[in-house]
Amino acid sequence: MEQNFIVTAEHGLHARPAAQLVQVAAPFASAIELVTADKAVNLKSMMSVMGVGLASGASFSVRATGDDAQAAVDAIAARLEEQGLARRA
Amino acid sequence: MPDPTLTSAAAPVTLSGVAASPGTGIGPAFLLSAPDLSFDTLTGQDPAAERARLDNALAASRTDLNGVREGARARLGDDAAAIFDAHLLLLDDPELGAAIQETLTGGANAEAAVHGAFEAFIGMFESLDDPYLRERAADLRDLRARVLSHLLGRPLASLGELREPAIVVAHDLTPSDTAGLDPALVRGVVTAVGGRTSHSAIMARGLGLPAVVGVGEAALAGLTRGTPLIVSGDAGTVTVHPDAAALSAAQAAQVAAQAERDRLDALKDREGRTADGLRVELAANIGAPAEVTGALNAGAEGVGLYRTEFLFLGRDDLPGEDEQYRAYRAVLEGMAGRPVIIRTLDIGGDKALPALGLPHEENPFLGFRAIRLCLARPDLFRVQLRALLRASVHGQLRVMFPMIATVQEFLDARAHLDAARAELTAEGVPVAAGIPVGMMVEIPAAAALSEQFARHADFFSVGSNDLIGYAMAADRMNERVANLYQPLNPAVLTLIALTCQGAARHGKWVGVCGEMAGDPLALPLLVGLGVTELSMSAPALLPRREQVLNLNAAQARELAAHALTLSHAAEVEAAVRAAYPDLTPADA
Repeated sequence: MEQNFIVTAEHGLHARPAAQLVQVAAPFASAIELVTADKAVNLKSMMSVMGVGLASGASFSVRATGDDAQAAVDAIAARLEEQGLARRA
Repeated sequence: MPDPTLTSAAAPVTLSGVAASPGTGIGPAFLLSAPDLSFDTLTGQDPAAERARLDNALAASRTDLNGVREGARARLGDDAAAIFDAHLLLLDDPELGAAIQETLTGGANAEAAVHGAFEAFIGMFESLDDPYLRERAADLRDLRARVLSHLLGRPLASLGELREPAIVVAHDLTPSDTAGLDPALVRGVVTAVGGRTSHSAIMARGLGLPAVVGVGEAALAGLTRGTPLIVSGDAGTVTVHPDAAALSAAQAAQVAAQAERDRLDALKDREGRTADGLRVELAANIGAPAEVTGALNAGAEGVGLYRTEFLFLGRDDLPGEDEQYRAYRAVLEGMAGRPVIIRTLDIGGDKALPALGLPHEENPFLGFRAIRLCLARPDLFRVQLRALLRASVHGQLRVMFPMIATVQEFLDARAHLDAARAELTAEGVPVAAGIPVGMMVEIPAAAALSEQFARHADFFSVGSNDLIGYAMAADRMNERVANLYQPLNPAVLTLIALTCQGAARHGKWVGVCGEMAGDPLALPLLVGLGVTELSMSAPALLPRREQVLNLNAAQARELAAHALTLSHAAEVEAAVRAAYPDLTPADA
């Protein structure tokens, strides 16, 4: 299960908003990764996610593997859109 | 005359830093140095044994953090507590955990594994430009020190050692440091690093302590324990070895600030009553028996909200009936006959309460919490109700149920209270007669149906924080929607008006125990709508008492009636400001 996104946040997707995604991702059983042009990081890890910096307009994807993969991706997509951080591509 | 022990033969030196928290502090330096967390790096260890040691240290750290978080929440508020939520998330971080495990598997001791794994991430965050990430590096250092201190069995250095008034000087105050700080002894705070948004700064403002941060490591190098200092939290300067002139100026600044406090203190024993004679009780919100003294010093006429959940947090077991009884009795006795509203357990899936094994919920604020949890867990609820009733003979108890949405919930909760009373009576245990039983109004459903609720409940207390959140469907901690969290929105005021009207039809009274109660802009509106009890954090009590004493209730009623006809929160604010031009912008 993989969903592509484009960053819509004016100032990009950086540490503080990215850290919120960890709280959304952590409860799911699936392995969840945030995939950018140059790396894939564990979306359940503050450590990994805080190192992510994506400029406005950059594309990335969220990849989930496991029984609740669809629900996980939906929840993350919902949070990204609610917060005006990114839209589905 | 300047105190001679605070002047010095050494030449005065002025250090500059960031003005982080206003006020002037004079006193000797107390250097807070970190404990010795050095250890030997070992190899060839048994990975399973080291893993077990690590797990114990992590569990102990988690217990600490839950306790520290709730302590911070009680004394400093939700923003301060959120720092420890971040620590808890970091403590369970899978990447960090994997890095530690990898080193353990290689035969390292747990200390070396923890140190190394944290170091890599600290180094990474510190090398970045983003100030937010650099602050997270401070979180990681604090967290690592906590885990290492448990592994090594060496307790973290504590401000708890402070016995004399002093100015605390540190590299940086960690959140854990400030959680242990006694505001009565600390005259000021000076740190080498940090900015206005660093933990030290936020905590100092929360406690009302003068603070200057970020003066630099080199500047502090010459200080020793006892070095006389002046902290000017408004100017952002620290005077080391002040001369007589500097000391006089600092004392003059303190005198002026004290004069303002004295003016307010003179009102301490005045009954809360408007200029035209309407009684408005001014009460304090507390989270622990230890806060009673502060409440009384601020002139509290009662306790309008005692949050009992602090008894339950930061521990692996549940407080028993006797332990709860002692806490409730201590508050009732401490308040010496003044009314004390004790709210039954208000807790849910957003709080770590291991003993309850609550499942994680997607929407804890719309979930299984507070009275919903208590009604489903009579074993838990009855223990608390028995403890409350046993304590009732030691003061003027009022019992309040949180998160009531339906009349049936209130009736069910009260039936449990009645059953607990019958049990105690059968056991021959004395219980006070005529204990008022009320409820929180924080769910809009309760406000809408207040007339029906008022047939049964003896009083209402509006939990304005949650009422606003639920009414506007906005989480104020979520910065994208925080602008919708509008205390002065006419919709919120209408819900409070409905609550007051329903209560009045049955001769019941309404209080407010959320932050609105301490908000000078909201105060005339609340009184005008019919609220007759305001419960707030202790520091707000004296300024709000002054405001009540000067208030004309008839004028406030006109203002409130007008506010209900407006469309925008901003119009309400403008109307309040027009009616009370003396409210300074600082009062907003």
